[in-house]
Amino acid sequence: MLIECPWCGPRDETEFHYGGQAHVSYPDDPSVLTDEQWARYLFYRDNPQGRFAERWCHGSACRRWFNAVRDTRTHQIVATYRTGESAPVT
Amino acid sequence: MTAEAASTPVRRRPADRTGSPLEGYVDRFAALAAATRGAVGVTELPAFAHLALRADPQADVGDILGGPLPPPGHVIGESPLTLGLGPDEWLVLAPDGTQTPLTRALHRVIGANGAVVDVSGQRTVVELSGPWCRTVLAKGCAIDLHPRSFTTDQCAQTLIARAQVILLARSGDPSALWLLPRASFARYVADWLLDAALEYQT
Ligand SMILES: [Zn+2]
Repeated sequence: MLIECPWCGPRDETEFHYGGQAHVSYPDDPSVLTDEQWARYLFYRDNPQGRFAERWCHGSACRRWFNAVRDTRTHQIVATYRTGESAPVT
Repeated sequence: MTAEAASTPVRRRPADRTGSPLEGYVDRFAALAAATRGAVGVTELPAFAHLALRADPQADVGDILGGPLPPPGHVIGESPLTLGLGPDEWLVLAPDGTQTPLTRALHRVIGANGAVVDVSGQRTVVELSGPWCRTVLAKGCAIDLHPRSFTTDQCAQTLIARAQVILLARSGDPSALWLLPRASFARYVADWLLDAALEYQT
């Protein structure tokens, strides 16, 4: 399978590794969170059947993190985009 | 450490490759070129200065590097030769011995907004030549190496037989490539190349 790195172009999937759900932002002020809210930030992730925005890292080449929208049913990568950008598809 | 010892220059690899990662492969590379009648040539080049550069892509390095910093996957210059490795990362290859003046010159331009690090011992440069060299490399490389796709002044970081390398297509010989394995992986990559080229021996 080929994955399109936003910096390097299409590359074999063996050059990449997976980094979990994308767009999980760090809490503005972690000190005001309850233990439950903190645990929810640390450990709770979506697990959809279908399109899912994920972080990937091109570890064997440019070593940059980027985002990908992947369909968890087909493993098809629908789009890839740079960190800081919002998902081009949902 | 005494002041005298501190000022002793670092011993550098001489131009004859003595002490280089592939110094023990000179005869095997020569035998391969003879057995394939030049269809596959593998040569370790004498040492270069390697500098890792992190900077703003707009940094005004034209006077030093011969042009603006190239985007990822592209190469500018001859000597120094600058490879775009990432959006804010480059590798500069220059004649061995120019590390210090080149580092100083780059530091002056990029100021505090970046870094220049001498990484000359990190990788060695292997030149692949001959009409079948890309076919041999393709056995262990997932990127499209056809000269139509991977052409002059392009570079890529990728895996060859699972070892991380930088690949570089040079101007001049359209089929020739430079392969930059890490020093500690160089013998593994050389063994793999010699094995992959077996079928082209006559
Ligand atoms: Zn990449």
